[in-house]
Amino acid sequence: MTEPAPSVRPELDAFDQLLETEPAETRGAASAASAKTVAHEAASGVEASPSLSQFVDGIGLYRDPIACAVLAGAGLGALGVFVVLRRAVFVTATLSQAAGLGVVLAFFLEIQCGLQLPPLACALTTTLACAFLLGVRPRRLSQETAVAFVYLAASALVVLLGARIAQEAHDVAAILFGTAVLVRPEDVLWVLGGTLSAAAMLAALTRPLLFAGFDRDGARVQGLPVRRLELAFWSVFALEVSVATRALGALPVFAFAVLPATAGLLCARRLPGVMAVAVAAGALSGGLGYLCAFLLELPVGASQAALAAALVPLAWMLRRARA
Amino acid sequence: MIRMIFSLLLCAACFWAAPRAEAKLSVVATTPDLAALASAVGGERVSVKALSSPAQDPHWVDAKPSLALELSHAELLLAVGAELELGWLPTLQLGSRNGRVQLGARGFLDCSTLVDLLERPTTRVDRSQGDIHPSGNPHYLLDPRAAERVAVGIGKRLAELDPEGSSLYLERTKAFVTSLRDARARFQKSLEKLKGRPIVAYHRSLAYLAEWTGLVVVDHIESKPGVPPDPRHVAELIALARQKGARTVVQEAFHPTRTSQLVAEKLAGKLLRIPGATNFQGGQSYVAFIEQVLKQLTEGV
Amino acid sequence: MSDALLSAHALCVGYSGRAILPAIDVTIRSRELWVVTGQNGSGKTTWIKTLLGLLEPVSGSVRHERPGLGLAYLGQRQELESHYPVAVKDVVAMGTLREKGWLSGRAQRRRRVLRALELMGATELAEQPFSELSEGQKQRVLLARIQASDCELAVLDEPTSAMDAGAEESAWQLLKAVQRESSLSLLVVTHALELARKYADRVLRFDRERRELSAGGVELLGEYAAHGTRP
Repeated sequence: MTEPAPSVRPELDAFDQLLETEPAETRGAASAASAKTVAHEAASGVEASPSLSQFVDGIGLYRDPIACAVLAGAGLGALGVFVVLRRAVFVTATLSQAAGLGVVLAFFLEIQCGLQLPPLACALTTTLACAFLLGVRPRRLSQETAVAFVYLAASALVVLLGARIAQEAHDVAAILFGTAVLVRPEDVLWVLGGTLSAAAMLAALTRPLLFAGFDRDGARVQGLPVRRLELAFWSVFALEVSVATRALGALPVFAFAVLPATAGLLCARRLPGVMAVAVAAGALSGGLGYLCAFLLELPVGASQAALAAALVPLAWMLRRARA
Repeated sequence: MIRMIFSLLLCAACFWAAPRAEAKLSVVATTPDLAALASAVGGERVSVKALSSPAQDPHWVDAKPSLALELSHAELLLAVGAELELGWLPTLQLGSRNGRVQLGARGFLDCSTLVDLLERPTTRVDRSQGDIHPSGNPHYLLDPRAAERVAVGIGKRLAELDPEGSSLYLERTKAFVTSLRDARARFQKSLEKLKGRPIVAYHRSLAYLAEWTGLVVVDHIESKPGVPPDPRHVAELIALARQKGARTVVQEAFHPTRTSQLVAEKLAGKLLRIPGATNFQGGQSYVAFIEQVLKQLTEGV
Repeated sequence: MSDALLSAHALCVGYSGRAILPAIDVTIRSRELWVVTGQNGSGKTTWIKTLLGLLEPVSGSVRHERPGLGLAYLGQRQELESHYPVAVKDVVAMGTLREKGWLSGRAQRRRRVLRALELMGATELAEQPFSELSEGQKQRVLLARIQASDCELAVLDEPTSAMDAGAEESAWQLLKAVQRESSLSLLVVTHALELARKYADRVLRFDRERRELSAGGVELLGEYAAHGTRP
């Protein structure tokens, strides 16, 4: 359809002629036809709400974002168990902010110094650096103070640097907070990588991590490398948070990292059960949240977060019912 | 078990599938204004969807999954262009996997190519100047003269894509152009009243409206496009506005009102919030939208 | 001597480079039960944490007299994160984790856990959530963790602080049983002087008012009581 069919060419010229006529000629001559047009103009604008069958029709389209959300939900759900147990839920928000700083920094360096760095790589670097900072904080500083420090410093820098690069505000937002509606195929691969790293790390380190969290000094005296374990955990968590934030946005990522784990801790009594519930709840809120957003025409990220939140009281009721 | 339930759900979904609407040309527009124009010139032969609502700043749109589905079936995608939708449309376009609406295809119409854009930077755009659109100001749909050109361009493209309906499209485009020109004639009195009146705007989105109505935009609440106001700028703005006699702050409903309200109070004037775009989903026409904006301006400024 | 496990040489503890107690030489030998006693705030916990390498010494040094010396530590109750979703057997299994080899030897580890639970008379608790146990039960489980760790020296900071007199006595009997069974050395911080006198081999005494630190035999406990600083 690069060239119009020859038969309609005269018609097409007629369109151009419309613009050549003087507006003054038609002034005041309101015709019946035009009144009808105005009345009818938006008749086809009324939309029916989307149905499940339309969703099934478009499944090829939604496969990637759903896979992304399910993977991120499952990975963050499992990692989130340790985050919640360590009373460090706001670390997630801080790492998201650090990722933002990385993206802004990449643009800033390009503008001020002509240095061209991939924004995602910068985001990953600042996120890991912040995770490292939180891991090696001086013992006299409580974890929540360290988290607040990093969060505030990163937020302030994002705003200060951001004010100098307003033109790229869209790019920063796009790179940092993906729309979650559609994701690029490479985002799926990144999130898959993040989730696989999380699975591998947890498979190897769950027991020592549990010991290090349950009785830190006891674990250190028994020879466990507690700081290195924590560093490994927070690095993988930072990786998962930055790639998932890039694909899905900050809100669902924060929700996936906290709420499925909370649901798991509410309804299961041992770690394997807690993990299973958290992974399932994360994956479910990612996938089903997307479907809800489609059927009810709601923003995707918020639907996923709301569904994850709804699973928490459900888990609590389940526990009450069992008790 | 879960697999079985899922298969059952899928089957059920397929049975319930409503028969697809009769073969209309599927048009998707990024803003409600473009949707209203397309609907006006396309009539019954087209089905039109808008990707954003009047309550949304078209720079920042949170697209819904159902819209991605629409885009995947679309035969024509209408965009305002001039980098307005840069932050969100490309992902949606690529993700829709619909070759017909990609950049450069006949099914993609960048409407900014149909009008003469204002504020086209003449020098190299520097990032320190804020969110400047290198191709020019994209808010041209607040000028009915530009809208006329866009409607004609859309009609022409519809006739290209759907030759069988070309005579209908031509008729409807003619009718729309006539109705718009009639309206403009009716507006003449209001325009005379507005000519030369100074106002303060929020964003650079009123450039075309000012050009058409003769309103004089003294300055903007934003210090630079897309950059939130800073205290020094607000102080300078208030001084300048007082000097030029501007008392009304005009902005689209989706912009934040805190600073604007404050500035309006300092100027002993008021804040006038005009609709962000045509209420296409509510059945409003583009002409009715422009009429509403003009009515608000003549009463408020 | 060849049965020495851990020795402190002119070890001086404190914070930010400032000493809070005088330096002392201490050698802990195989199968000894040390009692560490003194008023609250006299620096006991700081001293044992420095001995274990959890804190940096102000001066002096700590030497492991055997290569790969197995250590275990049970801190004060409030240092434990009791809300963790762990069953009793998970807690005991933590004792089997060492720097290397946590990926292997599952079956052997399970045997050690079961045996430790049996020795502590806690087999029936194995599947119960740790957070739902009584204080006495928790203490037995934590002792089972020490037992499962196969260590040579275990340091326990006020392990019986939350118990009534009867429970405290049986806890000390358990401690002694663990020591005998595993032929390990114990260093126990306690305020229970009567029980300490009954079970201790060696004593490390802290005195807050005099800023004194002395190591010796059980007679130190009597001297300590004579000062009248403790009822």
